[in-house]
Amino acid sequence: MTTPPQLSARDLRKEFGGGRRGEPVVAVDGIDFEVARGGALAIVGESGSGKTTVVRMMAGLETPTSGELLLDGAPLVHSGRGAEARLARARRIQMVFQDPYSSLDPRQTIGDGLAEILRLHGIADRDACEEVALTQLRRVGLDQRHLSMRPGSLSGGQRQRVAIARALAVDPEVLILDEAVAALDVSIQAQILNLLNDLRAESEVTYLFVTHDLAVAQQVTDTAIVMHRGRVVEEGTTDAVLTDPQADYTRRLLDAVPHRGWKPRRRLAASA
Amino acid sequence: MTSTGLVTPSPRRARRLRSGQPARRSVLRQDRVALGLTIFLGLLVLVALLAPVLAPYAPDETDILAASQGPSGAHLLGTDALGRDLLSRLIYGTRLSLLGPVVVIGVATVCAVTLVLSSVWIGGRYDRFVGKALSVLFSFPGLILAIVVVAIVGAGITGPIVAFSIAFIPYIARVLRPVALRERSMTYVNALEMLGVSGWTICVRHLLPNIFPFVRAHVTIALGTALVDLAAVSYIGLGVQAPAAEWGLQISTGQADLLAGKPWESLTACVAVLVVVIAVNILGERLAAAAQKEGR
Repeated sequence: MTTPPQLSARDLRKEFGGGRRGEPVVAVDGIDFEVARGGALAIVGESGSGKTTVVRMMAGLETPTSGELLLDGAPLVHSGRGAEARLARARRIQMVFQDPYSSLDPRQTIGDGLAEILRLHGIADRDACEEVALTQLRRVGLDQRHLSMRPGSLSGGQRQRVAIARALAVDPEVLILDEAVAALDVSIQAQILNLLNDLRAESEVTYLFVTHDLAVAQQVTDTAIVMHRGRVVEEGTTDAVLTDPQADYTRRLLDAVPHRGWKPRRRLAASA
Repeated sequence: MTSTGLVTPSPRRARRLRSGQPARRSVLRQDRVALGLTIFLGLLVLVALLAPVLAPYAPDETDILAASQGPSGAHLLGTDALGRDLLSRLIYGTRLSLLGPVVVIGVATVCAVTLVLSSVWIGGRYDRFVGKALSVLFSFPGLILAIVVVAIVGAGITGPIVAFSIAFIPYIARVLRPVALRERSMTYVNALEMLGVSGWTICVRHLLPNIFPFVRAHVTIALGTALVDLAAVSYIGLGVQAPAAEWGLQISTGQADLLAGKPWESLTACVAVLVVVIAVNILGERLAAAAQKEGR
């Protein structure tokens, strides 16, 4: 790789609980990874493998027990008070959450929600707000009508697109997508994946794509790490991981997904 | 989450969604009972404001020759022991009887909402401190607190209002805390934080509007309790003082007549208190149910 890694994790570890109550649960057990600027990394694994905990630490929603997260070689600091620090932090990392139904304020119209962020970051003043908000919406395939709607009258896919538009409005260096398409049906999934590819082609944003679905990961990312029980069991280019898995776990993960020519291992008891 | 796949809302729904206050309009529009009760309470406020116009007599106009009478053409609800017109006193009584609870609940609500939102947001030691302080306050019965304050500042309407304004804070805070906590844990709050929105803005512009239906419902119910409590303080002679017209006081001064077999003064005031309390309670329950239903 010619570009230096923009985002990297070094021996990242996170434990939950512990102390007097007994043994802590190790969610993330010393992992390392690197993503180049403008690259896209998939973090793949089953539920409970620790992949969401990793990105929640990057987002500053959890504090690592040990290890470090670096952005452009400097620690990815999430502390720091005051408006300046807050806004700078927002422009470093944004996140699209798994559940599109709770990630937008239900009482705020889509236009107002975008305008709030645009004004806050000084991207557009009061007069230009609606215009810029509309441009942002168009970018994710929504239009004028959606400006005045509240999340309640949008579908899950539309909400997720609003969430993506909002995250991209501040032009972040890194965009975390935490199972961002898992809750959507397949046709909308495809739409959003195409959108993400288009956006990456036009800007230098780095993606961190969390998913349990390797096939989805292949459509958006270049490299992938496979997590199992808090550890990285396999890493490489997404294509290589998908077509020529080395670790047992990855093979099992791939086998568990139905595909063409796939047969269930055991027949289910058809009748009692 | 009832409208997951609704891309083009019906015109009526779209109008409601676009309006500034969707909840208030929709509850009253959908619920005839809530609408009726709101109108009734509105009329009551109007009665209080227009008392001089509506009352047939001055509230302190005595007619000793017509004392302690039952209802008649001249005095629709009868007269008290001093010959004052009971209907007029009831109408004038609306002023102090409603003003007290409104001030008490207004002050208590502002304090409770501030405490709940700040402690839910800040968390940690501050949250625990607020929780403990509210528990301590909660263990003081409002009436006892009112008696203590009256002992310090003297009888009158001010003492009980101050005391109950404080005593009601934990009652309101206790029901709002879980609602605020749940709202705080919603993903959109995390998203806004990550987008660089300040804690203050999130609390005031996002959390507050979202818990508002619950605030409104519980505050309405608390209004009834405050009305009864303030009337009770006046009844035992520590609140509003004679000759002012106030329902609790009226129940008390009517007792002599009541024992003499003339229930009119106590009875009318009792009914007034009862009707208002029942009205705000039903309205509060309706609003609470609507808030519950609306909550995701």
